[in-house]
Order: sequence, then structure tokens, then C-alpha cells
Amino acid sequence: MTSNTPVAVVGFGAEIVSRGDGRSDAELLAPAVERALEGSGVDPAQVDVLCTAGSEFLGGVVGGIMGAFDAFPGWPPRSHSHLEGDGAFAFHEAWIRLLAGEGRTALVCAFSRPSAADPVSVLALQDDPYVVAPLGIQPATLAALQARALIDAGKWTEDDFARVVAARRPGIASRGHVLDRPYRSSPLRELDCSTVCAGAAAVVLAAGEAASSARRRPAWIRGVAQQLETQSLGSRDLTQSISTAALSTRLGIAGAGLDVLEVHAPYSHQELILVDAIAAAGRVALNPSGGALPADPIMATGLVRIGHAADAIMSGAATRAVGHATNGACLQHNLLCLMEAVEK
Amino acid sequence: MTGRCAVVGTGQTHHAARRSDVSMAGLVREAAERALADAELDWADIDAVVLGKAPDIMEGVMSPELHLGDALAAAGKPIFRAYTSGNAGGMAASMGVGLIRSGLHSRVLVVAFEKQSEADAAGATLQRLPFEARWQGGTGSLFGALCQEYIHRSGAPAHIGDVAALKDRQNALLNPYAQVRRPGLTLEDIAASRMLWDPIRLLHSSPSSDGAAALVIGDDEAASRCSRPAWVHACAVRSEPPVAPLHDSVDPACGRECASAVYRQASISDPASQLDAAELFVPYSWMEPLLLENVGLVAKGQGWRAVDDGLTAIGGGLPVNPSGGLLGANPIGAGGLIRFMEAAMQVRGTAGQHQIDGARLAVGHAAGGYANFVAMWVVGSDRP
Repeated sequence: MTSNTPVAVVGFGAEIVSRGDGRSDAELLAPAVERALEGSGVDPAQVDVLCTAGSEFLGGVVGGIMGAFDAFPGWPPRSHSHLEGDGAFAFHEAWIRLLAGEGRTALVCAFSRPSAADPVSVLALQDDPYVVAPLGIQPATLAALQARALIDAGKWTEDDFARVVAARRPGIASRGHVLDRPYRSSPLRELDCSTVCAGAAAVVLAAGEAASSARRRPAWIRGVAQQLETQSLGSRDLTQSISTAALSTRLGIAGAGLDVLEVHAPYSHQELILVDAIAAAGRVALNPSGGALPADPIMATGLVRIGHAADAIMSGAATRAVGHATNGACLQHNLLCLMEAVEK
Repeated sequence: MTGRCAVVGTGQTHHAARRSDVSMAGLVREAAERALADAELDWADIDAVVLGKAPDIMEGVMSPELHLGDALAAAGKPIFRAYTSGNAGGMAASMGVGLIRSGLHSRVLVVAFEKQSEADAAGATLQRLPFEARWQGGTGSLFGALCQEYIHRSGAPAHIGDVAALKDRQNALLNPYAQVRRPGLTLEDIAASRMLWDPIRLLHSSPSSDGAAALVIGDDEAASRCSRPAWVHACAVRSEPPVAPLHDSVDPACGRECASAVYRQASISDPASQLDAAELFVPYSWMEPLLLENVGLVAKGQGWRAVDDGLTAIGGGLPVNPSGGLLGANPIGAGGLIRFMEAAMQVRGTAGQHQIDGARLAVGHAAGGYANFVAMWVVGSDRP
């Protein structure tokens, strides 16, 4: 999963809104794009490849992507592909396209305005449409099944989950504050579940010379890889993330040193599973951005994690960083991206 | 472009208005199994999967790759979910090509499908464009307006839509996978069919379909093991804003530029004479003359004459949609991939009864959105 063509992240911008403020997709995305391009050294008119992502289902409008065009830089037509999913997968695609020689620079965009009536009900439709979705199980309940499995296996406790919440959510001073609260779906509490919000993110990629001349300190991509697991919950060991562990080994992350790790964990207990699966060695700064718990712009969240990991390198705070993204109930589909300060 | 890649296997379902004999998983598996069999490969030989279909809302299944992964043996592999209506299949193929050319993958399975019998396609496509008043007509009415404007600009006579429709419907009789096969159909039947969105009549229109298509795309090494690879000489995707002062829906720049890009990549200077076949995204027969011009196969204003003169019929100078095109079957998310696939079948010599003799170079085209998303590729028998 590594390659000889050096590609780096040279810009990142995000616009996260805790409460819907009436802005459209383009109005949310435009400042994120501007921020990502600013300082990247890439001329907006010279972006060769555009890879975008979002969820029209969550937004409640077919063709929702059309509303985002006004935020794209450069004069159209553009080489542009779109996927319905997390921006992290569009990031993977953009990296692939640059390696394939389709250009020297790429812009990845993701936007999310879960303005559909009930985002939770829409996410529930990720389950098998014939035999699981009709049961009307909420995503938090499936996550709770996984959390329960962890407790039963003796791996972690509600106290451990609360510790994650206290570390990630500003304003939650202690575990007690969490454990005092009623369950949303036992053993998970409302605070254990991410706070869904609107947001947009943009990441600029550049290859070879275009990257070295762009920024003083690009975040060089060592590898991006993703892996799907079976959807059948009964066929999986929910107490671990085998796909994330496999990716970590393949990318040379497991057992090696790391400065910053940004994991996409929409539920507190999942952060524990993922960190365990990634198995980085030594002292690692975990989710310095806060992670997904306090702010989860569904379908942009994974790209935000990768952006923050890259930013840690670009700002000089880190030499080696990893971003993770996930989709599907109980961590079914995972992606890892390893970046380093030094071009090999 | 860095690496070479080729189509080494193709497969599609028997398209139908309603495939109640299979679930969505069964539908995609049918196409994928056929593609693997054609490629003489096994599921384990595939190292990445791309799934394309229309927006999730259509069937009401979010992130369909999650539940279809098992049917496609994708557990343990990377999977991408390509989007957009109409050109979803083309965009998925473009992702597949990228995965191979990146040098990181050897054999990619590209699958696209739609199960419209389980979807609300008409309802799903009624939505607001930014800055526009609410549009109640549905997608067909947009095409009706485009075709009217084309007629106004070109002076095309009223029977052109009928001629193009008859050609595609006669071609569909030669395609065992086509959904709509109506032997004995005449021009008069078509001209007398119910008007839907002037000038588009019922028999000018593609059906609503359940269907899937799959390709196996491989690298140089995989192609060397294939007796008849369809080498990808060019591939490009383009988009432009759907609502903008300079956006011309009848002759969109994204279509013109996508076409120029693929002809340039494939070193084609005279597409009409160098190409042996074209599979174009024609959901309503009146779109054929319009698209012939937009993708640079015929001079501006002459598209309708090419149709009228029989240039685009099998046996003509540039057969268009020898498979019967979308009028034969239009599973929205797969229609684009079927065009790309049929172009590959032509240059592999596997198109059966609708094979164009001696075809060595063909173009596949897919268009979607509001005439604002396009994907194209050129495939050939010769290794580039």
C-alpha cells in the first residue's frame, strides 16, 4: 500500500458548526476550501483533480452535490469524481488518482448538513435492507451491543468509556459527570455518542515537486489503505477491529512510534478498540482535535481526522501522524492514512 | 498516464422491469459472477472493488457497499462507492482505471447496478436546484426542453427522434440481455406513441430497469493472461456547475472537453473515421443527434443528418449503440457502465449478434446530473 510517487498533504481547512446556522453546503464548504488552499502554495486555478464526498441521504436532497459546485475553485469543467460516503474515501481516491498520473495537485472536499429530519434514522438504513433495517434498530443500539460485548469480555468497563468522554468533551470535567447520567442505550450514555453537527472539510494534495515547492513542511503520505469487513454482526468479533489491525500492520504503523493519532470514533468505546487495533508504540497524542465525540459532521468526520493529523505535521508539532476513518455499524469499514514530515 | 490497463472480463444481468427473483445482492452477484467467469478468474483474484449506483436515496439504502460487500467477496478488500445518476457507471470505471494505473492494484472488479423496482426513482429526482423555483416535471421534462432547444438550433425535422429510436430498438433485438425487445416495431408505431415531454414520446424513451453490469479491469500482467483484452487507451471524467450563466445544457462544455481529453489521450485526430463503434448515453432517442455533436463525432448542427442518413446504424459508417443502448435497458446507476462495457465487448469481439465486424477501437460515454457530469473512455484491441 505504499508507492514511489511522493504525494503530500499541503493544506487543510474545516468549518464545523455546532448548531445549524442556515448556511448552505457551498457556504459551509467555501471557507474550508479557502483555508485549505491558503498557504498551500497551490493556485486555486491549477487544481488538477477534484474528489468530493458527502451524503445526500443525510441532507435529504437527491442531487445535493449540485449545490456545492459554487465552492469549488478554478474555472469549470473540472476533472471531478464524487462518492457518497466519508471524505476520507475521497481522500484515498484523490491519492490514487495522483499516483495514476492524472495530475499534480488534488482537492478533496466533504460536506455534511444532516438536515434530514432524523439523521439517526437515515444511518439506520446502512444495515441490510431486507433483514436488519426492518427491525428498526438505531445505530446507537448496535454500538451499545458492541460496548456490552467489550464489558462481557472483560476488556474495558463503563468507567473506561467515561474516561474517554472526559478526555474528549470540553466541559466534562470528570468520569463522574458521565457516569451520573442515564443510559441512552445501555451501557452507552448520551455523552458516549457523538454530537452530530454540520460541517465541511477540504484537503489539498500535491505530488512531487508541486509539494516540495508548495510548503515548507508538507505532510508526506507514506500510505493510505482501507478494508471492509462482513456486515453480518453475528459473524464478527465486535470486541476488536480486525480490519484496522490489518491495515495498521500493512502500513507499518503497528509497533512503531507515532506522534499524533486521530481516530474517527463516533462512540467512546470505539476509540479504545481502534487505539488497541492500531497498536502504535510509545507516547502518542491521541485525538488532540477532540475527535468525533464533541463534533461529528457525519461523512466529513473522517476527512477532518486526516486533516488534523496532517496539520500536526505541517505545523511542526509532529513528525509522524496517522488519520483514521470509519463507516458502517460497529466499525465495519475502516481506513488509515500514515503521514510523515520527511519525504523518503 | 503511467500504467497500462485493460478490461479482461465483462458480465451483465438479464435486465428487466422487475427482477423479483433476486435481491440487490443477488443482482450484483449475477453480473459479477459472469464477469469473473468471462475473465477466467476467481473472487480471490480481485484485490479491490468499485461499486457504482445512483444516489442512496433512490432505493433507500445508505452506503450500499456495506451490505453488498459480502455478495461481492469484498470483505478484506478496499471498496469504493462511486456516485452520480446516469454516469455512475462511467465514474466507477474511471475509479477502476485509476486503481490499476496507480500501480497499487492488479485486478479490480467494477460493478454498477440499480434496482428500480425497489426504488422511487421519479420521486427521488424531484428536487430543487439552487436559486431555481421548484421544478415539478421530473427528469424527463428537462430532457424534453433540451431536445426542443436542439431542434430549434439545428432545424432537425420531426421524424429524427423516431429514426434514432427505431435503430436502437432494432439493435436491442440482437442483445440477449436487453429488457425491451419489440420485434416488428415500425417508424409509424413510434411516431404514434404517446407524447410525454414534447418532442419525447413513449417509444423514444428508455424503460425503468432492474439491472447490473460488471467489469474486471487488470494491469499489464493480467491482460497478458487474457486472450482478448480491451486495452484502455483513454479515460476521463468532467463536471461543471448545473446552474451557471455559461452552462449550455444542449452542448455542455464538460461533454466537449471530456471528449477532447479522451481523443487526445488515445491519439485520435479524426474520431468519426478512426472509431469503429460508439456506445453513447442516450436515455431518450432525441438525445442521439445532440450527443453526436457534443462529443465531437459529427459537426455542429449535423447530428440529425447523421441519424437520418443511417450513419449510426449497424452497417453505417459509425454505429452508435449497437447494443440497443439505454432504450434496451436503463438501470440508472448501471447504464453508464453498460456503455463502457459494450464498447469493450466490441473490441474484444464478444458482442455476439450485435458485433460490429472487425471493430478495433470504440468509445464509451456516460452522462448524468443536469447535463453536468460526463465520463468517457476509449478502448482498443491494440496494446497502447
